[in-house]
Amino acid sequence: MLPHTDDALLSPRTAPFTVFWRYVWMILVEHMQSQRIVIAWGSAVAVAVVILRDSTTSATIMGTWALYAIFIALYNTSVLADTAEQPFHIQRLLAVQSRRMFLWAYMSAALLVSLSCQLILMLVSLLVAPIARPDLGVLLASIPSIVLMLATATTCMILLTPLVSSAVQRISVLLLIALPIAWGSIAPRIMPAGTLHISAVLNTFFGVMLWPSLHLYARAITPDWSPTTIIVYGIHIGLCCFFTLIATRWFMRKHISNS
Amino acid sequence: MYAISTTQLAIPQTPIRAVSLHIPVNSCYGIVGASASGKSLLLSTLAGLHGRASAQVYIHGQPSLQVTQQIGYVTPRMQLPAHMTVQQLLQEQGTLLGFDYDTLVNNYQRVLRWCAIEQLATLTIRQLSVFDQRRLLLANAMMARPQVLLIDEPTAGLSAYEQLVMIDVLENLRNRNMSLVIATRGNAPLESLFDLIGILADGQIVSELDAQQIRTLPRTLMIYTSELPSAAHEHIVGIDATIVATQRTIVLTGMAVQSLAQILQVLLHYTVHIFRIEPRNNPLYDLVRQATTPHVLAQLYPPRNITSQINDHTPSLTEA
Repeated sequence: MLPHTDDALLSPRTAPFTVFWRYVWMILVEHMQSQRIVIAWGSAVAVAVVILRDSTTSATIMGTWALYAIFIALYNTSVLADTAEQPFHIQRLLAVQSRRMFLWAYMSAALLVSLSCQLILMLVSLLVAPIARPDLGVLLASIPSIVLMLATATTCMILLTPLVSSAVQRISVLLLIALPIAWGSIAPRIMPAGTLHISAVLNTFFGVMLWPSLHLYARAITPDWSPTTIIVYGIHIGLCCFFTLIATRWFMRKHISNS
Repeated sequence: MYAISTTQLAIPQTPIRAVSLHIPVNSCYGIVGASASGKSLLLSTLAGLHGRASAQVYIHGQPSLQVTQQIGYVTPRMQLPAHMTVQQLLQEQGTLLGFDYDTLVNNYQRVLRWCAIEQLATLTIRQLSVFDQRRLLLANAMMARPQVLLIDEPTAGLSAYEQLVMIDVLENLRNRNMSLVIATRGNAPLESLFDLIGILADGQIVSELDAQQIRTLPRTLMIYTSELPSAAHEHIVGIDATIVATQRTIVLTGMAVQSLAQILQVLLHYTVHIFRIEPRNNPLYDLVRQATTPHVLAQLYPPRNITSQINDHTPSLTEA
């Protein structure tokens, strides 16, 4: 119990940085108390036990880790963004020192939950598939790629949530991601016969656009420290910053619904 | 300087078209309007929740988006986390506000007392009634000791008794050196709280009533009694031509309400038993109904220079 006292003198507030991490901690504790985290952690255990059990090659394991990193980041970000939208959190939005802090706290929490899921997946799969265990050096070298993939997927997914974007913005972002990925498959079906050269140009353009992310994905499975990899890391750090900047701008302008 | 001010606030694709509000410091302002007139949207915009539109709102002269910690906001749509205790919830709010331990404890004690929920401190939220949760929401918003408290439909979904207790709590908060803005569609007797009322219709504040005008809003009172002796009946009807009296009821309309004390004296004189006295109409609701013809209402109570009204009619506001 808090002690009872009537002294009402206001004292200086703590530094914003401290409040930020306290808020992140509060979000994580609530996420655990609401048991939503069980689904995320459960999925990590399930993937390891069901899919990776008795795997024989380290490439299989690391390929699954890389793919899982993308999906778990998308899932956790959407769940936490949904939590942030609950009407009661409006009182918290007003209590924290800025809207920016509110959004970044949820993004940080989503990244931390995704990291914990990834860690569980890696540990459990090392236990259930001992033959396919990658070398420690390879394992450690793949970690930066996986962390970057988690961060990029988190910042990208936040742009697709109603917390941050309007319907038009969401559709635009979705098209910007889906079109380059799917272009190779849909172009022959939708482009008239005489415009195949345009389709080829677009194919090349989208290929160049997607190359850094495909390279990052490949480096998560077969890590190396070439100059190209360093450039790809740089590109993704820049992408994360860019997505965060856009998400913050959209969130600052957004009407936080209370109904 | 005003507690809240905004001029010609417009939000595209919503009912809010041109709202101008200048709410004096430490006053209690009522935004009264029909359903779907945009009251809740206006309140959330004043609270700084509408990124773009809130940029046009100023709290104590500063853009509302920059001073969100000075704003408390409560709406009945908020659902509290059921697994937490009252104490945990308020403690978390204090943590988010960046309070140190002593400040946290002080504010915690204070809001429990102000919102009359001291006895609920150790209960979990799922154990609380809707009414208790509503008071807890108020307490949570009060943790920051805001300069402006915005409350949307404070009595919605409450019983008649709970409404009266809630009005008492709001009356208590009203005297705590802050400005209160309450949005209502006029279905509860909140008029006693207000220093000013703005009628929201057609996307704008079409008319404003000051404290004097609020006091003189047309009311109808019913007095239920035991059987009236004919002498008492004649006496009462003789007080004012508009008084209607039957064998067991007396109806006071308009200015006749002012004769209540005189009528009670007559009833006491003839030893007539009074069962109850109750309002027959709700003045705020009558205003909302009139808001369907805003031009008529605007003629009756035109928006005017609020500062002069405050100085003329409610000098106690500045003292508070």
